[in-house]
Amino acid sequence: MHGTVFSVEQIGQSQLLKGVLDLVVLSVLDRDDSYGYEVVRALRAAGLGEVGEASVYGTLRRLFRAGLLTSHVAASEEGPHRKYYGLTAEGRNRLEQAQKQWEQFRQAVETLLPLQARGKTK
Amino acid sequence: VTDPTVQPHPANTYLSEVNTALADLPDVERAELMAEVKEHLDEALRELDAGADHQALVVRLGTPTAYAAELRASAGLAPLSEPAATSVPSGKNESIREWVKALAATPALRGSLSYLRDLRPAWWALRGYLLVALMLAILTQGLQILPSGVADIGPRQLAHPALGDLLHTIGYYDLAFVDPGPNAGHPIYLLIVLGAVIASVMLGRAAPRLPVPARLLIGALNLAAVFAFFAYPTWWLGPAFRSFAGL
Repeated sequence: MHGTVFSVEQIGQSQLLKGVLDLVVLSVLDRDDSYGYEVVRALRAAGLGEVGEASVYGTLRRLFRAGLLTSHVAASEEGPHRKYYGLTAEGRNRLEQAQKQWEQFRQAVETLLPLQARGKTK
Repeated sequence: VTDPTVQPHPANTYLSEVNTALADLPDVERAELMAEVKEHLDEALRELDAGADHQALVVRLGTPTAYAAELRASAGLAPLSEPAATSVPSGKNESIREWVKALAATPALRGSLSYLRDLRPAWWALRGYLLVALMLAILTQGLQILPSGVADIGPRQLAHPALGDLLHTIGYYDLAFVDPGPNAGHPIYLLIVLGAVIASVMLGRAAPRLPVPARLLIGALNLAAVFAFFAYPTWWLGPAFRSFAGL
């Protein structure tokens, strides 16, 4: 394909998030069983508002099918049914692993960052 | 807090377009995903202004197609356009399957499938009515069906005279809708039909959330209703059909 322009764009938050969405969603559910939109809100409240909402629902679905999540449907005060997700034992294991991976990754990246930035994060 | 303006769901267009973009998935998988999408749109609409419509949802969540693509990607499902890369066409069966798959993926067919899906509530209502007719038909004449059954059907030729009298009393033989007679529209008969129609529609709405055995049972009810449609036309058409057919 000719004429391809290799542009170095700013890396969007959503792109950074893709790799850690599982970790983030598992962490939210570790605090308390939640329904999909509650997870969306929790991410937003934490400053991760750029994540696609559909991605959150898709991620929940995939983690559930992988046996990492439990689910139960409960009626809400407003009326509609809500599907609540929680962690299975396997889900908790996965969360632990992913958290360790994330720590290693974060440290590795930080050693490469300019000194000034490194100082700030500590 | 009660919502004073209960309107048709403003997310219906959005929902059906997402559904179309998931049409290639197995029914169970799609139903589960759609239940989530429905819940999501409900929540999103509650956050938006009261007058939020389809366009507001598109601004908020992207087009239904983009939404479905994002959902599929994050759920670990193959994109819609991607052909089944793993299955190598190796024989006639395989190529037929590919052909059917390709046909099912054409926009025209997907469109008409989603159109049929929109018509489902009408089928649920009809199903309730047909099942009442089937029940009454079997209770009175047993499983004797057309063509020999046609000539015999009538209040005086019933296998169970007492039941026949009861049916006559509640006006079943003078269906209000087609041929008002002296007993037409008897409350008991109308209540039975109304109850069955409501139950059938509720069942249809709840079906995607029900476990597999319950869904098999619903499938059996569908078959029974179709059977009633073809096997006992005189029972659901009522007297009008009989006079038309010169019986």
